[in-house]
Amino acid sequence: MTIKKSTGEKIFIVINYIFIGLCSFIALYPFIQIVATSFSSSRAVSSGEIFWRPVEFNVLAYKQLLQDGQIFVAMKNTVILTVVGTIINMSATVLAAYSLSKKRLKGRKVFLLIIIFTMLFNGGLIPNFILIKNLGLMNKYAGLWLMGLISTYNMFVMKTFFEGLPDSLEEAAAIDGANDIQILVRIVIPLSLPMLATLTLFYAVGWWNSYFNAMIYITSTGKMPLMVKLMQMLDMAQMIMINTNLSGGTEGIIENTVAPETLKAASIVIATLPILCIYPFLQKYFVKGVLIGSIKG
Amino acid sequence: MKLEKFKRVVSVLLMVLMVLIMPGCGSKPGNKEGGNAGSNSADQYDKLPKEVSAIILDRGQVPASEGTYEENRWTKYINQNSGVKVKWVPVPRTQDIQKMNTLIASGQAPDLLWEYSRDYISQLVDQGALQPIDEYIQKYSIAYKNYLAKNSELKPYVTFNNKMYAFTSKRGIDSIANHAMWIRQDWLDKLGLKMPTTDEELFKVAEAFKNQDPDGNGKADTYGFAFNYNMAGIVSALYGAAWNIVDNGKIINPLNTERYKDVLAFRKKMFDEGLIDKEFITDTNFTRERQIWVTGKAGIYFGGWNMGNEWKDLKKNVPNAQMVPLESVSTKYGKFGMWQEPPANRIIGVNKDAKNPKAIVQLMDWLIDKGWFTITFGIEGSNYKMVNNVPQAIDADKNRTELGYSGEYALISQLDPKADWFPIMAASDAMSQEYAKVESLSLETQLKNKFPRTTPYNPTSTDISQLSTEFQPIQADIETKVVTGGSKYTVDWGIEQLRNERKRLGGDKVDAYVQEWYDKNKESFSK
Amino acid sequence: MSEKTVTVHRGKGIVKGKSPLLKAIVRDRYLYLFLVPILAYYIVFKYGPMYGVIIAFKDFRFADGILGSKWVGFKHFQRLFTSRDFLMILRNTLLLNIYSVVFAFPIPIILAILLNEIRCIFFKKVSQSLFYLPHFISWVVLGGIVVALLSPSTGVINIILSRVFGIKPIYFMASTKWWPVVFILSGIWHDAGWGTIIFLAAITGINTELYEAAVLDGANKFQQIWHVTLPGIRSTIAILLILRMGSMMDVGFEQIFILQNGAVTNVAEVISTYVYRLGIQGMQYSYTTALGLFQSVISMILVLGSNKIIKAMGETGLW
Repeated sequence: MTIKKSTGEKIFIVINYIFIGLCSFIALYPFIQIVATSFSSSRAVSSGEIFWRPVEFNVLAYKQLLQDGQIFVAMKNTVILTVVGTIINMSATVLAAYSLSKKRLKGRKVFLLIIIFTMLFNGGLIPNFILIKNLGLMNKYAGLWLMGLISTYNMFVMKTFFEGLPDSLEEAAAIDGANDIQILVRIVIPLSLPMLATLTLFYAVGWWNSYFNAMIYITSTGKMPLMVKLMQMLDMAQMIMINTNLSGGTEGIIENTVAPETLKAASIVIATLPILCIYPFLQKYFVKGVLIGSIKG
Repeated sequence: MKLEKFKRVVSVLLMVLMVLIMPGCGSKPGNKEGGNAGSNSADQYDKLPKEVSAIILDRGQVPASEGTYEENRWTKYINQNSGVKVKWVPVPRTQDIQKMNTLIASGQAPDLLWEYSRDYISQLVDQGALQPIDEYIQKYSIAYKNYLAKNSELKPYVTFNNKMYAFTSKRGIDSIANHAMWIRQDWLDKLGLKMPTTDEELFKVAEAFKNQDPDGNGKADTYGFAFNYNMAGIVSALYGAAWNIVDNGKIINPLNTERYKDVLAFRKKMFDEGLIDKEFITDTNFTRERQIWVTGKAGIYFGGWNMGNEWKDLKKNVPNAQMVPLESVSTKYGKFGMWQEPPANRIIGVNKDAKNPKAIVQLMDWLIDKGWFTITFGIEGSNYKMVNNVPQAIDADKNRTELGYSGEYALISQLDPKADWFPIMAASDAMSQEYAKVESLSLETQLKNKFPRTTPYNPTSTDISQLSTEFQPIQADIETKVVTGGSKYTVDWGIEQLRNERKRLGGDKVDAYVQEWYDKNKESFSK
Repeated sequence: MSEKTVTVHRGKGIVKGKSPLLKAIVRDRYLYLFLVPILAYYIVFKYGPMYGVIIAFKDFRFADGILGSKWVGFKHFQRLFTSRDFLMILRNTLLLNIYSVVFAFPIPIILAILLNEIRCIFFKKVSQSLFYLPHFISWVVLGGIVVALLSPSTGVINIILSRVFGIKPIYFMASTKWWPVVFILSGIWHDAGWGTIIFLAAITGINTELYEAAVLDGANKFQQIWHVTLPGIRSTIAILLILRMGSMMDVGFEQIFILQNGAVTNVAEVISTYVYRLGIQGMQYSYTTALGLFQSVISMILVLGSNKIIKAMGETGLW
């Protein structure tokens, strides 16, 4: 049965579309400028001529970043880091959030306090470094995965979501003889797809952008993830190569035709493009939970 | 009751785990006595394998075909030819200090710890992470010992508390020159002006650049000056106020001198007369300033001595532009050079736990003697051929692959490119060759006047760091007001404010400390 | 019900027969099983290194290690609190955060609600994907764009202001009055889109039957939003607000650093830039750890405090 909309509502709808469209444009604009910059000549970039389209189109920046193939190795590393890391994260988060969302759990408050405390207090870089060294996890991805096993922040968000699910569903299943594992898998998870998709995205982006920990704990250049590699390349380009102690000749000056800003822009594009592909893929999980509506019975 | 029991269990668990993990923390390395003067010490090190470990900065420049920073053609070369096997520990360039600190704190640091900053090595000495090496050099070194004797001005840079804690070598002139000024010769010619030689002439020229439409487009859109982050340093240097001043045995902070008034007045004048972009204070990356220069809208540029990218971009935008080096100008206080780096290059400290100092000395001797040349220029016939005693690249691309990353492995080096080498070493296209000539001229020009470094380095202390940290934003605030605030904020007001604020933050105590330090150490400065 | 199954109240209790605690553990055995690896993680990787905070009470020296360094009690805290301009830095940090919570925090919620009202699926999906783009642009780049936009001479904003509204150009970035506004607005530009994702997920979790019931009751769109959507995401808003309190003592370094300049130090100096300058001086481990500890303590108070308030308002809060 369709209900007639009032004029007020109709106006609202139109304004809403316009507003959202405007916001989308405002959000998109910087990115357009960056893409344009990445394909422009250094001269045009330094002269401030880029607005929304490339000036003196070229792919030198990309060539410089991609040519020796190190970026692809780094990207592969990041993919491994991200996929495994996210799976670990989501498993841990769901298990923890589910258990801690049950008010009947004895000791729940203590556990939560223990966990919250760690969100605010930490021992600093040096003790962490010593710990990783002692556990034999230096220069190993396992070290990074273990260090980042779970994000307390995300876990709390998940827990709150679980707490918001109607108890009646779980009670009904419990009466039918289901244990906690079955309830989790068959009822809770299907109902939580949007939140699961969101946190998966958050974790994945977190791994994808990981820089600091990788930089400190991963020492082999072959294992370096994307962000570390990109930072390195940007830093190299930015450094004024007046120090000829570094290379056998100063020819590097003129040869270095790509301005740092252009390189930076290109590196943002390279780093961001894969993420942009993940979200639309996850969007299909932003649908109503499957079992909602079957409350009675 | 359950809660209590539970808490007990948890706390026991925590304690157990802490005990398990603690032993690794703050590992106090064994009680090794390095360099024991005794009849057995020669044997002591000879029995050990000739192995040394060292930091290398990971700049991401080793192509996959060459290997990794830990292992590549040059690490192999060093192992084969120096007689010492070196294990290289790469640390990321952008966070090298942080990474080194974590390595040291966890007892994992390699034998050779180095940086370009003497201050950092000084801190390592204070932290007890390094050991003195006077004895080792005395006993085991030949080539390095001679080198140091011939370049004794390097000694203060490796001496801490009257002991030598590090190796170093001289910077080539191309890495000593740093700040520099440039000027549009074509504009000078067009307006019939001569190259300025005093600060007053500099302003007259800048004013002419602004008012007399030197780019001939009929619009009043040109500036006198444009600059990058070196600007404040350059203006201070013009008046000899960029470093502590020593007058009759008294060491004085530039802020406490008359000269600093001239420094602020200069910057204020630049702004008041519209000689610079009015929005420079928000141009934190100096992109706008650079834009102004490369689009040919300014006549004088305060930057660095080697500005290939700016030169090239300007040339592309304004083909007739002639960007030439501008020598420092004289002021009523004299004629001073712009900021130059101190003569010492990398400062290479020796880890207190280094096992084989004799091998370290052997490595260093080999490096300073022959190793550095091959590592820097490659193999004769393969990478370079000698042209007028200058190594000239045979194949630029091949060298970029094979040598682009190699230079820093020569921890100490005698590399000292002469200004006239640049055209020989540069690529052969017209623009590169033209710039190479400009580069040579720039280097010569900047080195004509010395930077008045009255003390080889400055002291460090908690009070000094605290003052520095807290004073910096206040100084920025006051100086911004003076420079951009028009008649409301005068130079005299600014100087008074600066001095008062510095005093409030403990400046007097720091000044007294610095004087004391100076009196104690001034003998060693001239060794 | 026999005497054996006596409900045991917290802290005290009479236990007869089989311990209720044991029974509870057995009943919830899978839940405990789930938690074992998680808690082990926290203990090993979070509590394990926590002894590092004692650096704040020592004069840390590499050679002496964390345990061996000299104990100096509250010396570093004293230095911190008597530091002349610490109050200003603290004030700026808190102020900017308060502005952010008041003005920036609600934006993603509003955007999510508005986005949810878009019926055209394609438009909705595309907008959602575009919204979060700025989040991936580093502040160094976005900051440059902001400065350029606000330039009094060449910036778009001022051009519009003067041509359309006849207002004289304002040097926003150099004004202590306007700079915080720029800070908050640019922060919204950077992060609001990313923030909508989680609220959108929460909105999809709202039972559609509630909407149908509301419509049947004659509710128009605005009433639906007010009575169904907002209450539906209340708990999400609540938890995110509490968690946000945990970062009140911190302002993202990158954003401040790039937008800061000499004219606005009075309002733009914050703890993270202070620490950065300290870091340049080097080796101030003990001092910066003391500062970090101070920040942590205050954050804890804020988190616990806001949790109490939120719970009093009827939400679940952290626990």
